[in-house]
Amino acid sequence: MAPIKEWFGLYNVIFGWFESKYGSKALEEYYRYLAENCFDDVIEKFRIHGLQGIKDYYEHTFDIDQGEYDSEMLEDEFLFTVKKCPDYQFMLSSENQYFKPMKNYCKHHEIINSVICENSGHCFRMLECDGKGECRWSFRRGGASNDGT
Amino acid sequence: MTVHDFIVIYNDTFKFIYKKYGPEALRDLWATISLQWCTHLRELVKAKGLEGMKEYWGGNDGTLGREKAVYNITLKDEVFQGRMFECPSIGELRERGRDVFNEGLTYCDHCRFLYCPVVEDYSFSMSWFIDYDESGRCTGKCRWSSKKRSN
Repeated sequence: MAPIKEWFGLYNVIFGWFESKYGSKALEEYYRYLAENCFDDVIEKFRIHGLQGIKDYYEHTFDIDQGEYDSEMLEDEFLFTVKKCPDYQFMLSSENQYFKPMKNYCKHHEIINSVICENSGHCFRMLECDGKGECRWSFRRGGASNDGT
Repeated sequence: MTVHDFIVIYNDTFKFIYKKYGPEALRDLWATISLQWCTHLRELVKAKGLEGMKEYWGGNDGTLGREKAVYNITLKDEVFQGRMFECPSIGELRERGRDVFNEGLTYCDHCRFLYCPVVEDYSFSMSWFIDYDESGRCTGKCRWSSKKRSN
């Protein structure tokens, strides 16, 4: 199977349909379902390899999707800064009016990453997000974030 | 989410919607995708008719070529025909050990729900035949055809 970039737009169409039909809470429930049911291999990788596994996974994912990022491994935290989000890069370059990123498109990253991390013994925080394709993520060991949230 | 996980996500999206909201909701999602995502096919069929379908599905720049499907596309005597010998989506789901969506609707149904309404808007009929095994599971093979609708 060779993926096609139009599928970024299809994510946006599906998320938009969900929210317009059932509301934002239902959309978040759907994201949690995906995180619980579609990422078993990723959770296992994070559980076994810890922060290094998380670093390897996101760097690989953004490399194959042709995104741009900075990553920084600290003693007990991994920081991942998205400089060019591949989803936004594609959707904003498309002439399809329905590929205009929905408001809160980035919410799926926050919820799915959080669930995957919780299930692998880590915690995730979205430190910054401009809603336009630039954001900064934090991953730590343990089940609670550093500020106790 | 990466597009490399898209087919797995797509398959589980169908399962989630069918189970929680029912078949009508899933058909509604497919109708929305048909309208909002299949815009390239719509433009081609509107401008070129059957030749547009051939361009959309056939050739290395077509959708199936880019997805690395094993297929055959023909346009002869004003009849478009497509044959899928190895659907890349079904292949990937099996390779990754995923249960292919198969309830009252199936994973493979989404193609006919997405594409038929598009060509029908331009006075073409389209038939889609999906191959299932003895257990009713998608085999990854199908054929579809289209011609100008007779008035």
